[in-house]
Amino acid sequence: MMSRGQIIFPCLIFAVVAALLASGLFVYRYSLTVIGFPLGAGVFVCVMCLVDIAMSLTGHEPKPPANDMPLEPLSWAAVAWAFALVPFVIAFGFVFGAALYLLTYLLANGTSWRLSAIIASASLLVTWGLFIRLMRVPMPVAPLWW
Amino acid sequence: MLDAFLSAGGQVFHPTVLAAMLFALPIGLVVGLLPGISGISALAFLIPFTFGMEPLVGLAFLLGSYTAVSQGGSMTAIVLGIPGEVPNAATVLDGHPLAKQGRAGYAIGAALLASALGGIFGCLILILLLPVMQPVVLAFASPENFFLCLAGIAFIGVLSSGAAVRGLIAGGLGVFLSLFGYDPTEGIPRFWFHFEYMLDGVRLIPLALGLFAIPEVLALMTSGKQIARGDSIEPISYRQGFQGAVAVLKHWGTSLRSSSLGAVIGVMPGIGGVTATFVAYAMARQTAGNPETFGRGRIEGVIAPEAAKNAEEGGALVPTLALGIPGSSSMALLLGGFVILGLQPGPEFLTKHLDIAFALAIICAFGNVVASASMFMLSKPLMQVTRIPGRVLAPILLVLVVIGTYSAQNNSYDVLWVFIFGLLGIAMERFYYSRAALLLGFVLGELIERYFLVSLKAHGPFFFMRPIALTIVALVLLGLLWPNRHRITRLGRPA
Repeated sequence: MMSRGQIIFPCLIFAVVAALLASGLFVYRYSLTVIGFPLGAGVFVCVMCLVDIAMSLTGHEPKPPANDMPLEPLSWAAVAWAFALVPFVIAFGFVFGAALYLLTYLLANGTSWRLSAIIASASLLVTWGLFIRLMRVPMPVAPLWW
Repeated sequence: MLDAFLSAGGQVFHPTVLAAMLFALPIGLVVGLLPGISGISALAFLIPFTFGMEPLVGLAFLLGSYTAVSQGGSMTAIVLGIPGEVPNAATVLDGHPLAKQGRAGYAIGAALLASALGGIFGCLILILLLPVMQPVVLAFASPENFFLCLAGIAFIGVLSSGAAVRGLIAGGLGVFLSLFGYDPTEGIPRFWFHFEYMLDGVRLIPLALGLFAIPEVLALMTSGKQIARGDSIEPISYRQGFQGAVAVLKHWGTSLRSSSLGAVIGVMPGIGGVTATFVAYAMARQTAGNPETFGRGRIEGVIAPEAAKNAEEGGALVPTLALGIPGSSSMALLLGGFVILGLQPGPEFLTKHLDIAFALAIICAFGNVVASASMFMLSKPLMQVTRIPGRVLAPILLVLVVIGTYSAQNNSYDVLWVFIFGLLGIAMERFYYSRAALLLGFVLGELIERYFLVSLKAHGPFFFMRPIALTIVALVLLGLLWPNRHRITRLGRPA
């Protein structure tokens, strides 16, 4: 059965690519040498999106192979937890933000205090010890908003 | 020449050189296991330690770690579905489904032996071609490179069979995204919206990790269960690994074809490892029976990219040593290492130091074998990762992906982009848009534009009328049409 996403996703791609091309042509007014290749690729993508939408509307959308492992629907909680890492890093920096995120996530998802603390400490060791001290990656230790 | 080769063998197996290489190998393996951190990072980290070393000792130190990085990257690609290096993304396509079926060991065994054999093949090519390489590499100018890149694009269709239109959208989108930032001829920034980060365009590492790693992490977070969840999960043992190694010997044709392709792509400066792995994968899919089962755990889908990737590294050393032209960004850094150690690669290098050039090839081959053997020893504990509950593993992986992404260019915006591309990857996975096609389009798009414009300026509108360029076109057409020859002849016959 056709899902709404099968139509919405190519529509989104079409809209984003078309908007970018329009900005290049009419706002930035790039010369043909500058915009030529992106224009060719963009128009190709837009045309293919239209073909894809038409195919989906007429019931010719690609179907999953019969013996394919079905993908479980993602939970909003999982998406929220994944994206929560960004505010943690902004608020506490890469080193402490990552460790605090791990501690919070693991405790909130039923992992024992002991294991959560061990994993968070290991994260501190890896980010600070391996990346900053050993590999000399200039990773901000202080909060990013500082 | 034989004298130089024998002398090289003697130098490589000197205890100091061996010790330097064996010391650097574990560093490469650890770097390879960290998502987003590539061989370039390993070289950048190790180069300062080579000051004051004997040239061959220093180079053994650098190459030892470099050859090991890709082995580590293959492990994360198979076990976690997260490419350690961008070229490892092709291994994810069939390696990770095998891990999900509880057959990670099988995939790991195949990947390691294919890598080792590919690496040895690449080094053999290096040894054979070094003395005669100069005219060959110089014969490949912009028009030939343009057609080589176009040949890579032609395989997008193969990567996306089953959902051809969606594969073409993905490939086209990849090309489109690669064209952001400064244009190659006039230096005018495109689609940057006065956002300084975008002046250099979309970055490869956030794109690759976003497309492949974030969907895996989110799936693990959602289910909370372990990665290996098949109906018939086999117990973790080295036996699976041996079975995987046997599979490489059984599919020797795939291994040999992919190694040859990898070595050829490596020899061409600037085309790169990502192209080699994805084109090898597409070729394996094209030539194997039941191509529709690729992407669901076909062992040829692991063997092909692994063999191509390591053969490409040997190939990339050819222009670096013979002409002083780095075959890839890692080779550019290695070139810096040569200069620090008092050597100047180029045509003169081969006349003065042919023994060192051969020694480097032997180090590469030996490094590949030792790295594969070490990884095989580590494979059992690594396979245990597939049995860790997702609710524990997922946040650890996410943190590693974010830190790895940041470390690649030390830019916080890369972290935001990894999430944005992660959303794109999730949608693509769920609606059957080939993520591999997008990545291949992205890698080749910018190269195609650059080589096309340079060819046009340097050789005029008939730049394609060159024997090598036309041969490449003919070979690509043959490669694409040969497996479908029966279908084509059937079309020609009356009903």
